[in-house]
Amino acid sequence: MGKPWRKVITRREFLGSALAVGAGAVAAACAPSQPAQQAPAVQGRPTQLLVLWQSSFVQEQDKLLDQMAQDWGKKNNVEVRVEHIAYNDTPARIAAAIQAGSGPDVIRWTQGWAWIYENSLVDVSKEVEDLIKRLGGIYPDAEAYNKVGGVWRAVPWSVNPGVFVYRTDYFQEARVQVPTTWDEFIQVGKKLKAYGKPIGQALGHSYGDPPGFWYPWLWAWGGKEVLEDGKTVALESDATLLAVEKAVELFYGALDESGLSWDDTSNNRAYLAEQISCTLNGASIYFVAKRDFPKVAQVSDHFVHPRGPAGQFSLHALFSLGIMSYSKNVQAAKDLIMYLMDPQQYSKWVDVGLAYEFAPFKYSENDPVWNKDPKIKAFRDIVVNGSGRWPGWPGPPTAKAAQVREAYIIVDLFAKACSREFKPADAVKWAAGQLRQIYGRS
Amino acid sequence: MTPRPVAILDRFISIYVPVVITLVLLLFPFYWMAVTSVKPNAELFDVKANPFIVLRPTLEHYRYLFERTLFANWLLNTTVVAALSTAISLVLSVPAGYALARFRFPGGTLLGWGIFVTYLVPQTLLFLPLTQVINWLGLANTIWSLVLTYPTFLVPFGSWLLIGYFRSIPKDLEESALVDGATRLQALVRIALPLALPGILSVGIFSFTLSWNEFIYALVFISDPVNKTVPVGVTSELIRGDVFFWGSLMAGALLGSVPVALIYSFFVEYFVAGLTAGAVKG
Repeated sequence: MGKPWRKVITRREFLGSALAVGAGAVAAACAPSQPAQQAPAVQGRPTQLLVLWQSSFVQEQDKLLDQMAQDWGKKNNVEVRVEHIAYNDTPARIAAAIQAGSGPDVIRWTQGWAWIYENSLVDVSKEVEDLIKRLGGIYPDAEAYNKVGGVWRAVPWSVNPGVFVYRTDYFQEARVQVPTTWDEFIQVGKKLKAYGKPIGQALGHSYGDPPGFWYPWLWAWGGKEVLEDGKTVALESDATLLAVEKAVELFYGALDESGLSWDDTSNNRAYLAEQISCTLNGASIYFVAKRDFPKVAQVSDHFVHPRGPAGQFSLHALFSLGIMSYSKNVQAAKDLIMYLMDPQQYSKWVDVGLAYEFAPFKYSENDPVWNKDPKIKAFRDIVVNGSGRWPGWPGPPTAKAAQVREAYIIVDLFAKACSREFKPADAVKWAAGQLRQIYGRS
Repeated sequence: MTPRPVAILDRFISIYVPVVITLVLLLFPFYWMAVTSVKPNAELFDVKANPFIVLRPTLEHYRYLFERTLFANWLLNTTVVAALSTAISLVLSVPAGYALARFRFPGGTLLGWGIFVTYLVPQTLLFLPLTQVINWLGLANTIWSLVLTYPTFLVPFGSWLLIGYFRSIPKDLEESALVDGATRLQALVRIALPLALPGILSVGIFSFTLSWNEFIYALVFISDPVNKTVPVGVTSELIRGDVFFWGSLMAGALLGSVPVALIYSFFVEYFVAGLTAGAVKG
């Protein structure tokens, strides 16, 4: 006797139905959509603006930005669309837009991108100088990143600092205090690791955390990539060697050793999973803990970067808004940026994001957001204390410095020594050689 | 006759053990996606919990995917783009593959190699000039930019695969048809195509899968969230800085892999026959 269930539906019948449904779907998708309502153009005004922006981990912050941009657009008869994409996808979009000479009118991107794409960005000096006057001055790293050859090529939008988020209960149980020097940091870390909750630090190739930790580490011990001229490689030094030796001591004595393979998300996961006691990060760990893991948030706090023999240093993610030179809507783009930068709008955006990012202008030191939660003040302090530097420091953040950062040479300098691929001295030689190859090119 | 215990053991070791190992290896990613997609965040981050089981299953990640992102649109766009690109590629690849396999003409071999080399040029190089082309054509930010550009890597691949497949079919069959009065087109349609069906289906499945998973063109050519495809949409909306929405990402990945898995399951025998044609036929 045949199996009755075999007769229920054959593959051909299924395919037939599926194709019919699929054809319907295709037809629906291909049907001409309702034409978008175009805002009537007023004299001298463009009608459309496309803004490229990275997706915030706080979705409400993106929605607020979209709303503010659209509100401005309605008042000015400009149709504004903000496209949100993942951080790591931005460079491909910028490259394609510049190549094609068409695409987003305004792009938000980070660090030294104004140096890399100097010729494709509109001069916004007048606007930035006006903001500096109105908003009480600007932080040096924001200026270094965006002022290229005396011309402002992008409007500094926000600073996204990292500080150390830590478990107060683990620190208490391991009988350690918040460290104020990197040597103390190593000793504190050793006790925490012995307690079973090491410090977590990424050493992989990832956009934020690995450079955010290892550049300041290098500087704090006295090491530097290049001299003030931004051209002469100065990595091979006793100070750099000391930094690498101390990194190896830190790695085996105090860190979670799986950090060699970590990316930007790994420490978030490890901290929220209560695997580690401390890690360098933006406010995202604390923000997510408050939302999803309130018990973890309750026993978490933050501290700023410890000092090294050469001083206190930090590396913040700094975002800026560039107007592309191919844009046909330059004036509208400038007007939109100035509107968004106004504290009346900007403060709302910072507030929704719990100061994960805030303005790189000095007025933001007194933003009401800092009174909302005393545990986030460390994010303000690390910016206000002027410890922020940039890849390529003490020279300018040139395109070559950006290339060194993108190639993760400074991160690898420490990773190769910590993984014991190279001895510390050999790791320094290797990294200096890589730097010479890049800086030596015309 | 009852099989001897040694024969049973032999069969068990030579057939069932490898099959089970292969199945576990192949299905594990799907299992992982499924389990992660129904775990509440508290369980996802609990390192003390068994990662392979879910204690308090939830559909919150699926709800997030459908209610707070445009996943349904992305799924529809991806289906349309993959289906149309595959159709265009097949229409172009079949005659190209047939002509290069059957006809001798000056430059034919060179053309065959040219097609192969074209396939080897990576998309990460091509997306820059293609962006210009798409803008000239006024197709930027529409799914038609993808329908047009995907065949640029599908047609060389399909043609190359079909050249080999058509060569594996004896010429004599078509020549007999030609002797009996069929035209070349009739010989192609009535003789060669039915015999080449496994190869054509293989190209179709491969093309569909490549289109379904394509990332860089979809990222660069499309800016409106409504027009995005699944791979770009989920990364834009569910990877936010250093915060990954793991549950929804896995839900999206699982749902995104279902259509491809279904197509494979229906055509698997043809697919295997198509891929192994060159290995077993002279």
